[in-house]
Amino acid sequence: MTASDHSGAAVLVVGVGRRDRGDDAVGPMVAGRAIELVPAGVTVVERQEPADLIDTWAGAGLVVVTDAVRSGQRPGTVHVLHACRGPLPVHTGAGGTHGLGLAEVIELGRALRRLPSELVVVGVEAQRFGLGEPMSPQVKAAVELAAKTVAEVVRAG
Amino acid sequence: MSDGGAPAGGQAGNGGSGGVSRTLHVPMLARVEGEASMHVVIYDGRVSEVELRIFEPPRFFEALLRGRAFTEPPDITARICGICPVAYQMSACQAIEDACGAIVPPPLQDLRRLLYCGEWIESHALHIYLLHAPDFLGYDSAIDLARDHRDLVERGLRLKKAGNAILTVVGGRSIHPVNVRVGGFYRLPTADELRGLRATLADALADALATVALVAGFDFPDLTHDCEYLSLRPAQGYPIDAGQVVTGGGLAFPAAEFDAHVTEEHVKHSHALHARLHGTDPYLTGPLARYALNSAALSPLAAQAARDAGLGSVCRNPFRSIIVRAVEVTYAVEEALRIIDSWEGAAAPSVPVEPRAGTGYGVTEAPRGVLYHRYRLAADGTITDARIVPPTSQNQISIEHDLRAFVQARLGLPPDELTRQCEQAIRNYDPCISCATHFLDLTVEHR
Repeated sequence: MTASDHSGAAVLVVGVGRRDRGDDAVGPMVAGRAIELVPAGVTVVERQEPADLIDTWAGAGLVVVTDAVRSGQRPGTVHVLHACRGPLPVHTGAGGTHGLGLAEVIELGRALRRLPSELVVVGVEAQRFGLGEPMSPQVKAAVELAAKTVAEVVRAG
Repeated sequence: MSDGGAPAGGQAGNGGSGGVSRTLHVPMLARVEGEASMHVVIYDGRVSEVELRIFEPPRFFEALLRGRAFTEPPDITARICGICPVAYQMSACQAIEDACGAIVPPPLQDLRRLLYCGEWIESHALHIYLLHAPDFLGYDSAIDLARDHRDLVERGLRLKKAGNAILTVVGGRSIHPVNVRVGGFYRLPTADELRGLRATLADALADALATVALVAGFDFPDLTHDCEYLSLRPAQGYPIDAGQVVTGGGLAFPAAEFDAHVTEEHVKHSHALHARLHGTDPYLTGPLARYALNSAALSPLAAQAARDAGLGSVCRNPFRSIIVRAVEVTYAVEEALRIIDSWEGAAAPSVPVEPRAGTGYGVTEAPRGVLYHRYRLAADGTITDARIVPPTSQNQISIEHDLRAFVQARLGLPPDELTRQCEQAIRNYDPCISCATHFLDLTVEHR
């Protein structure tokens, strides 16, 4: 996985999250596995700071963001959300551990008219985010399905 | 990651002894990094307790560092905070190099200061425009602000991007720079790469000055504190990457004496340790302290911007810290341009650093305040002990003290409005509370 600025990539996959924080690692984990599943030429990056996404996806056509989400469903549940069709559900997003969460950044991008032409969030239902905690088994087990989902979204796009 | 939290203004009754209590739960503070809660106890119409409950990670990382190689702290501690990784890297490098007796030559020190300027610009721009300005302009969030004032938010994002550009060129990537190592850098940026930043920074300087003018026009609630200020003071210039520790009371000491002057204590309501000077006196570090103790060291342009914004040589209203941040962005952009324009290259990307048994100390100015690192090394460079004192734990007692006065003067406000104003007040200190969620659950208890 590369972590440099890939503004302008036609198809971009972004794994959001922090690897030290339990299930928050699932975004980077899914993105890392998706590298092996997506067609050549698709750019895959990792970000810990959601506020950087607006610049990261500048100029991209299709962007798939994968992140941990918490909505009260069973841990490991994979969500697919089409962000360009409307605001994310309130209980999904606000990702990561930073000043702005994923849902806030997406809505900020919408307000600024700086969303990519297609933006899909592949979220994995998570349950624990403690510093130094391992990923929970259900979430870890969902990485493969989520990565395949990312690849399907990319191919369909 | 976070969920939707409890509904704003939800109430639960019953509680404290000797009277009726009310508990108010509010989901927030979404715009402060990390997770925090605030608990206020009001007894007989007076604020008797204010507890800011902070959950912060340095203790975990101190344990993680023990047994690791002396070359690892810059990379490991950069993971503590997504907003200020350079600060952790710089304090770590300084401390390890001190322990090993390594001297980093001036060109590499300049490059480190340039990298640090990038982080200041990025972090302050994020805080000013996306976290704090919405409070002053009457919006719930940067999203709502962007709908009505797209140009303002775009300016903030441009500034943030300018800081990120420095981090990418010098640090290797914009978040958690990978190019920093003990002794210097893995790779030097080319002169062309540095010159390539110039146009972006020239635009950023105009944006920074416009930012000072913008925030100077905000309405600021009345609040004046009298706490002790603590910051660095370098031999030259405004404090960023180096300097001795100074206080408003006249103390001046090197990083090696930090432990002798600053003690930390556990308190029951917070995972964070609380720092005091000499075991008794709370103090504040961060923009207000830096400015009060170093305003004479600002560049002429930044100093003029401060004067135009109505700042004297000292500012004691925490709400006006947003002006100081804007002035500091101006200074950081200018400083970045100065370093780029004077860059003549370096003999090597790094100097050799050989391990030896000993203790090293490092202290730098993170955007939100002084960040202290101490490492003890075995002869082979294995870390035997680590101590990290982040700015937020140093500020916590003073924040609580300020909030007590702030809440006392606003007890008549409806709960929702009191909560909103408390959130705005907490954001004055830009607390960095890296954790897994970012909600402030405010609890107000009437007894």
